[in-house]
Parts: sequence; structure tokens; C-alpha cells
Amino acid sequence: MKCVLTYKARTISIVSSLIIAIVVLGAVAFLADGLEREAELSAAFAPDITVQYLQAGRQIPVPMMYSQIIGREAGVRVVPRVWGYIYFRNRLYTVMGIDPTKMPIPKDINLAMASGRFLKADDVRAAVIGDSLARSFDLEVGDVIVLYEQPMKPFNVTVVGIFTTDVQLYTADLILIPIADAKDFFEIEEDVATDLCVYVESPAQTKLVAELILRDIPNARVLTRGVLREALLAAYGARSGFVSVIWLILLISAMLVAWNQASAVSAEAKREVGILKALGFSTSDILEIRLVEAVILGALSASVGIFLAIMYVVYLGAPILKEFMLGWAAIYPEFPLPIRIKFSTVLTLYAVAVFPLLVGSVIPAWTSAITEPDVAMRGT
Amino acid sequence: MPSVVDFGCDTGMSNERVVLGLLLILVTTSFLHAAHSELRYGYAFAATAAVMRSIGFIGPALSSECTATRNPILEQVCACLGDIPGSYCYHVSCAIVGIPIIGNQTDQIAIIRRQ
Repeated sequence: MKCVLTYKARTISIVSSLIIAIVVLGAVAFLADGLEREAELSAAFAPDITVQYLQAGRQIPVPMMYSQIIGREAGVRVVPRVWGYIYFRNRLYTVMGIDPTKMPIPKDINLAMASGRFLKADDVRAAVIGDSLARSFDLEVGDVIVLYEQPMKPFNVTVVGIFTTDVQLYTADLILIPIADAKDFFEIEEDVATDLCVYVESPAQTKLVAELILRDIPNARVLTRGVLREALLAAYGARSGFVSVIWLILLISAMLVAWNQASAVSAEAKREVGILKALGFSTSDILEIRLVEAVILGALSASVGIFLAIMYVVYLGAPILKEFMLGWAAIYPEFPLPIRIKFSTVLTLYAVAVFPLLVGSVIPAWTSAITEPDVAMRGT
Repeated sequence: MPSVVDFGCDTGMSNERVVLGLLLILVTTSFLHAAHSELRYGYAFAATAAVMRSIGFIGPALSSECTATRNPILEQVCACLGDIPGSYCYHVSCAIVGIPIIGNQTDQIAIIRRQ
């Protein structure tokens, strides 16, 4: 530790370059882990299969007769949904219509409600909205939202519930209404839906049912839960990949700095090695001292870097990185970042800081350690 | 000039203690944040699961606009999920749901306050 503090210039250059690399990697990793977790969570409870209908390669409403065809399979339940988008001040909001009598609504749905209640079977012109939407419009339970479809015909819905911030990532821009109201509002015919949620009794059936749907409805886009998960992970994983490339360049730079600083052993350090050897220290003892020094520097850099990365994402909201990783989430100013600080990530960051430094220090340390004491003390 | 005995290290023990103490605080803070993060996810899990079961699949409201539309090198990682509810895209060139190039979209929401 004394040596680390003595060679200040070397310590500062190694520690500062490593800190920058760890801050970047840490911030990206915490955000990427959060996104990955959310993607996995959302897909884990998605319907086993989601069926959409295509024409000319684009999604169009799916005829309800296909719901009956799919429903004929044993152990299969089909629930139609209607959803679409509306604008307000050039921002998009998602209007979704569900059938509360058919959807598998769990008893603990109240966990997701900040106020009011979830939709009930007999609700008409009722809406459950996201917390961001409620705050943007200063809405409370009992207020009426007037929605306008493209022909600007007004459609009133009364707010009966507001989702909690815990589920804001999914419900921030959501206006959830009964499916009959959604069809009325979007002027969608009674015998079509936007998509079909298919639930199968046994997960083992999913692949077979998906194949049967494709056989019976050639124009269908069949999205299994696994496909949705992969699509989300790929979408958000790609973004963290770009930043990781930048981080890799930073890490290589940090390793080069470490190598350079460790190689350029000062005359004072050489004399120190000579004195140690003259006092009876073996080559392995000196090597050990240098490697312990590298571990201390790595641990110190990682600790400061991880701490700064946490401050950057948790308390500062990851400016710049947020826009890149989350895209248009910036349209919601108070949108909570999906941050996840995993123990394994923290430990990996320590390993990432210490290991390259050890590798970068071992050869210069060895060269220094095998120097003859008299040569080292003369400094020649 | 540093003495031979302390091998050029003329800093006292207090500096070492300060650095070690700082290191300990930083490590503890990092792991406390990690513990808090994992606990929070555990709690939020139930609410998210309930919503997903109740409404079917919905994309995270992060949007998924292309990161590199029309970029010949990066286009393959284009990440539009516009056909999933909530996964709309503001990228005009995506042509899924885009803001018109000329003029603004008409507002489609109004509020009537509870009496």
C-alpha cells in the first residue's frame, strides 16, 4: 500500500484510466441488465402464443372466425384483444381493449394498482390508465378522458383505476378499456380483433399448436412467448452492444497505460528492488509485492468506478447513455430507468479491473525482479 | 530524500488507513446498492406478473425505434417491434407509426374533471 501511495504519477494514471473504463462498462451493464430483466419478465407472463394477421406483409385486424378455428384444438383458449395508438401533443399513447371475463386476471392484480381498481366484467366506458399518463394530465379516479378517433368523434371514458409506478415501464402510456369500447372507439367491426392471445393448457403443446395455427391460417404471424423474449432481448441487447464496443476500446487503452507505466520503472523503484534483494528478498517475493500492488490498484479503480457508475445511473439518471439505451423513453421526463445492479455484475467489474492489470504488470514485474541487486542499486 | 528503511515511502500510516477506509466504504456502498436493486426487483415482480397476465403481452414503454435505420452497416440490427402494443416507433423512415413530416398530428385527448 505504501508503494501505491509513493508512486503517485503512476498510480494516478493507471487508476484514472481504469476508473473511466469501469464507469462506462458499469453504467451500460446496469442498464442492460435492467432492460434484459424487464424483457424477460414481460415475456414470461405473455400469452403462450400471440396471433396476428398479415396482408401485404403488414398487420391488419384478424377475423374472429380464426379464433374459433384455433379454439377447436384441445386444451387451447383464445382471447381477442383490440389495441391502437392515439396522439396527444405529438406523443403516442396506447389504447388497449381487453375482455375482463376472458383474460386470466389474477387475484393479486390490486398489487399493480396505485388507486381505484382494475376493469370488471360489467364495466362500460371505463378506463384504467398508467401513472405517467395520470400525472401528465393530472388525472384522478373519477375523471373523464375524452378520446378522439381520427374523424374527431368524441368518446368519453371514466378513469376507474391508475396503475402503480412499479409497472410504469409497461403502463406509462397505456389507456386500458373494455374490448367492446375499444371496438367502438376505433370503429373496428365486431367480427375482427387486433390480435389473438392463445393460452394452452400444457407448455409442451405450444410448438404443436403454433404449427397447427400456421397450417390453418397461412397469413398469420404466430409469436410464441419464446420468440417475443428473443425479439426484446435482441432489440435492447444490440444497443448495449454498441456501447460495449466503446468500452472495450477504453479497456484496451487502460491496459496499455498500465503496461506502459509498469514498464517504465523509475530509478527509485529499481533501487528499491536492489535494496530488497540485498536484504534477502527472493525474486518471487518481489514479484508478489508487484502483483499485490496491481491487485490493490485494480480493486481501488474498480471500487471507485463502480461507485461512480451507480451514482451516474441511479442518482443522475444516466444522461446521454439513457437517450441511447432507452430511445424515446425520454419523452416521459420522469420515466424510471430499468436499472438492475446484480452481484455477479459487480464481481465481474472487479475481475475486469484487476485481471488486465495483473496481466499488464506481470512481465515488467518479472523483469524488475530478476535484476541483480548491485545492478539495481547502481541504477545502470 | 526517502530513507532506506521505508523504501521511499515517506507517507504515514494515516494515508493508508484513509485509502483502505475509502475502499471499504465504496465496496460496501456498491454491494448495498446491489442488494437493494435485487430486493426491489423481487417486489416489483408480482405486480408486473399480474399486469402481464391481465392484459396479455405489451412492449415496454421504452419504444424501440431503429438505432440505425438506413445505415447500410447497422441496418441489420434495426429493432422495430411496432406491431406489438406499446412498441410504437417515432422514426419517420420506419413507416410504422411516424410523426408526419409536415404539420402536427391532431390532439386526440381531452379531460373532463370530476365534479
